Amino acid sequence: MWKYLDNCQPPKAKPEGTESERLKQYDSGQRKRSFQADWTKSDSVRNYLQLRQSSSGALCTPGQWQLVSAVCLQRQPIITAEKTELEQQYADMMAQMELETSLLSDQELRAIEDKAIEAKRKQQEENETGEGEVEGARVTALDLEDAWEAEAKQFTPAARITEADEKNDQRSVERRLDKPLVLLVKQTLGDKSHWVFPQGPRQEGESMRQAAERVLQNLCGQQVGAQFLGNAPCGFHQYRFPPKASIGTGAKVFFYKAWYKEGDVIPDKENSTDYMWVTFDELSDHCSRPYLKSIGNFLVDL
Amino acid sequence: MASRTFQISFAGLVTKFSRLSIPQTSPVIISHHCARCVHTQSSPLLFHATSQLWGAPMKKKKKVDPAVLMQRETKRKKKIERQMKRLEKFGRRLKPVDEIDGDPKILSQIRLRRRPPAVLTFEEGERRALLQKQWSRSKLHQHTEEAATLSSLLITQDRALDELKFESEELYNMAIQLDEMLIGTQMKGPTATPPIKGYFAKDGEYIDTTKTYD
Repeated sequence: MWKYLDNCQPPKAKPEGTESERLKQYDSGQRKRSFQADWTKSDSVRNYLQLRQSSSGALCTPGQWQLVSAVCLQRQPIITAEKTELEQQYADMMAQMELETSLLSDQELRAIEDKAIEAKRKQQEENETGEGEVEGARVTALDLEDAWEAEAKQFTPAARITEADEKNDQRSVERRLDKPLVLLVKQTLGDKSHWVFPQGPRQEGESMRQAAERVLQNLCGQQVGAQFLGNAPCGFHQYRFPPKASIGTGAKVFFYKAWYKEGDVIPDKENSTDYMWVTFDELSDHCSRPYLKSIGNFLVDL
Repeated sequence: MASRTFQISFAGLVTKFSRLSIPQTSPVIISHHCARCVHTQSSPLLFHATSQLWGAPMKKKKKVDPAVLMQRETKRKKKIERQMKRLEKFGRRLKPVDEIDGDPKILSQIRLRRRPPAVLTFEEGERRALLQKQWSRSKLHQHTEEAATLSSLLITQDRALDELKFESEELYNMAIQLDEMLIGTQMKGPTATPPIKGYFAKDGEYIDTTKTYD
């Protein structure tokens, strides 16, 4: 069969003993099979696989649950993230390779000319022709670079790490500029107060998105500017009311994503007492576990 | 006898150089061969030779109207202006990439601009190859993560919509409507440094003429 396949060599006959050695290496963990590669163990992949396997929650008659809209208001990153070590190394290598395959620029040509003129001048001095050339008539490459550096120094860009970072002011939007921040609000739901996304029940004649917009305005103030991303909710959470309270069975919360544009958050004292802007990692410090589980699926920092 | 031969040769000269007119000193001697030697005027035509015309007679110069001249000038100016306008119009339009020949100034200097080829050590070559492999592995990892994240997002949204549909058909129909306000929104990506608060952007070149009083 092998002679009919072009560019194909028959496999070399392996000596007897090596097979069992290889198998031993697989067993001991020195060698990995291709499907055991590291990337299959990443969080997002595991999360995705779990999600696919699990089924949705609600299997009860409609109308028993209170429909609640919540707003996941995100302040997107303002500055780019720092490069990782590998990214920095690769960027340096690419820059080096590009330089090696490029042509000489005007600045480099100028530098070469300067050197040639210097060498000539030195030669003339050695030969002692006696006629000195006028110095300073030529603008050298280094002169130009100095002038450009001086011009660039006149402009100082804003700092990447702001005051809010240093004070660790969790109420400020200027805090972690390279990561997305999400708004958490302290709401009294029933007896206790929880740190949640601003939420409120849907009223008659509203769609869920309109309810979400109203909730944001009421709880956080009229001046907060937000761009809602579509009419469809991005996530879902369900919780039961305590049976003693006899308000109903529970609530179904539909989350709506919105990008934060401008404005200070002024919490309305009735429903929300306090607020804070928090990164995705810091959420686990404040929210309950089942809530986090529902939220984590749609909070993405790509 | 000698005078007679002189006469004959004289006539021959004249016939040969037909354009030449030679002054006759003695009008009495009249040759029977040539009628050109006859001068009817008192002052004979003097010796002169015209420039070599190579057979083409000179044109008569016509006198041109100054008005016509002005018209010609204006026509030329307008033509040049039209060409300039056309260039400006077509100059802004970009050439298709296939037609671009590169900067002619740099192409003429290309021999001057050749960089001396870099000498890579064996270690450097190995380092680069290994880094390239590491990078491609990490990029594959990144891609699978992103794909998994996006799929998770879609699944969560679908589940939320299923719940809403289970609760109320009407609300579900309102939720799956296209949001027209989103079409045409522009979002700016992150920059290296944050924007400076209250920064006044100076437009174009200017010379600062504010008077400072010390």
